[in-house]
Amino acid sequence: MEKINIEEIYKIEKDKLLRYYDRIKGQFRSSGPTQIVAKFLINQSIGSNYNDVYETLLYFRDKLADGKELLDLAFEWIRAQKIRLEYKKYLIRAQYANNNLSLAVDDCIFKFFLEYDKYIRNLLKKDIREHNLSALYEIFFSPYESKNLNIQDNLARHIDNVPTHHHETEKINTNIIILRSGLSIIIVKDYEDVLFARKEEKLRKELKFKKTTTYKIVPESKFEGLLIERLIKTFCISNREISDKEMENAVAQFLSSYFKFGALYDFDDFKDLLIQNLAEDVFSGLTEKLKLANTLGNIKYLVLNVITIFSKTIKTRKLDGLAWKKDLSFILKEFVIKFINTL
Amino acid sequence: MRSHENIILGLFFADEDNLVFDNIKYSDNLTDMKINDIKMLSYKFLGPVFLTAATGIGKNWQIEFIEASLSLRGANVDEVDVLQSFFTLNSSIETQDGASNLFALISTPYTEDVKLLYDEISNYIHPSITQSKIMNENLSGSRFDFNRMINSELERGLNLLEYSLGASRKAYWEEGQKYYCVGLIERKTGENIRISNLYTFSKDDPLRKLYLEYIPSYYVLSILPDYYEHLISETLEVYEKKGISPNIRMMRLRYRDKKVVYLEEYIFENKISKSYGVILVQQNGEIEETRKLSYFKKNLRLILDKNKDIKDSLNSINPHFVSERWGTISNEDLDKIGLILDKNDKLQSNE
Repeated sequence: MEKINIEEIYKIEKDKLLRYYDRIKGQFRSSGPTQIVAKFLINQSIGSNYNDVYETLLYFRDKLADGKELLDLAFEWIRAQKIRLEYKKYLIRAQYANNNLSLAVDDCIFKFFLEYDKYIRNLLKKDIREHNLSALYEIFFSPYESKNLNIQDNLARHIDNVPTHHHETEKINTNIIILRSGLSIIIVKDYEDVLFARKEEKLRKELKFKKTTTYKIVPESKFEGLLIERLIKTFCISNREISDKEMENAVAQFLSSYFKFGALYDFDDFKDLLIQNLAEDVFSGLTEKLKLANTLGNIKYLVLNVITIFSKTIKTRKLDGLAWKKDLSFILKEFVIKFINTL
Repeated sequence: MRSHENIILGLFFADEDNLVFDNIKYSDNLTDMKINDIKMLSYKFLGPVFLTAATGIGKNWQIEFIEASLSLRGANVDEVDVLQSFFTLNSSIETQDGASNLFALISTPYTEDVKLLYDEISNYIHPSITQSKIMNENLSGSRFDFNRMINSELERGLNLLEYSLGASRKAYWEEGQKYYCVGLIERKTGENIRISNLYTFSKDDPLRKLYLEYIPSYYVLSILPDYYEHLISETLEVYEKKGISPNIRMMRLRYRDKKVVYLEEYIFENKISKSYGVILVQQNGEIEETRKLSYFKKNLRLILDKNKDIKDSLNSINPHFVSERWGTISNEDLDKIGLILDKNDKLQSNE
């Protein structure tokens, strides 16, 4: 298996942490070294409470390998939370068939903790009994919010589950069973949380979707023919001929400002508004001089005639916005063009 | 979720007493007869693993890896079952209870990350079995149910392997290392033809004896490619995989720090599959004839594609080889290999 450099992958800022540790040490001169390390860890948001952290440090103090100190154990405790973060990120994306919890345990142990086990064993004496390691894993990798991380309680739980085996004087390697013993409950709980969160998310999405589908389109309050107004204005001032396409676009914009695709409109509901708004837009495009000859009332009357004729030809009075747009486009375009020609 | 109809996946565990336990995935649509045939695969695939233990002058060589390339043969593409990879991986562990093997049979529609799967088998699944045994024996005493434990572990292992399928292959193993060629196997198979010959050092060449130390035996290496190629073909048939045909691509064997790689290239012409494979040993000290796998692969391809006479090409593979051919099909021929090529007075007297 490829050698993984745990310190390289899960980096902690040792120098910064050391500086902070020295500050704590300076502040609590009368405290013992274990108390100071416990205080240091608690201030780093590590462990459930001061007493549990202190007890854990006290227990492992004489189980550290030669050359290792309590501060090394403290650094590893901090690193463990970093590993936990990465492992959780992985678990959030994992999709285990049939939500198989054993598979979640095996996959996470293989990917995150198998090499770590080799690494962390260097911190402890070689002859340490195996249940100490499974208890340590449970403490290291439990979530921050865990309330009961008392070392003695943990040891009592693990001591009978993972006995230490020897072949002659050599300790038999049972690392995978130790890892399963220490981490299975944590991984299962974490994965169940992920599943719960996914379910919640799904429900939320379904609810949102329902809301979307039942959403009633609020009709626009008016037709706005800005392009029609501008075209008429252009024609009146520069006497430039308006192309068929330009007028088509202007009418389409006028109708689109009101009709929405997917919403149903009753002819009688918008008829008056259309007559009123089109007449206004056409009227406001005229010069002051032309306005005298073409009053708003006159224009309104002309539009009314067109719409009345149209209303006699329609078979269905309730149609989708797009359908009304298609049906009205031609007659309104023809009307505006004819009107311009009379100016 | 992956359909079991699209993959072949099995885990076989064998202990010191050659008791075999397996967990194999197969489609529910298969007949009872086919399922019985599938159940026999574990014995067939593990057979040579036991064989190497029984031969090779007492050395317990392990077959770690066998890979076959799959090609389309005489079928419409629409009818073909899409499979890209076919390989087996074997982990062997020695404990105070003796040796045990965990063998995985894998065939999928993807080019798999073989190294990841091998790591899972050898570093997690197999140790889980041996460690669970020790732990449960201790905790349960006479109530310890080995069958239950092994079946549970094999199922967990199989699920883990299945979950890891589909990861693209990173890099082939051993590509950077240098090897020395100790033999070349020529094989031709067709409807009415089956030829297999071994080319190596002269029987009197001291190199033949020297390199016996590095391989299980010339005998074992001569029969393995043919044996496994047929077995893989049989496996595809049992699983009702249509239109594809296997050719051995690579095999890897290990004994402590010694390693043998068998690398083969093939060509299919006029309904005959013609292949050449080299038996390579890892040579740590720099000697002139050690080469990377790519060198041997290139030379094998040249022999096949340019239809070169093998006798003219032996020099590029190993200048110490002679053109004498050793048949590897009939029992008589194989016995001759065993008697002459595997003869090593010095080693035998030491055993």
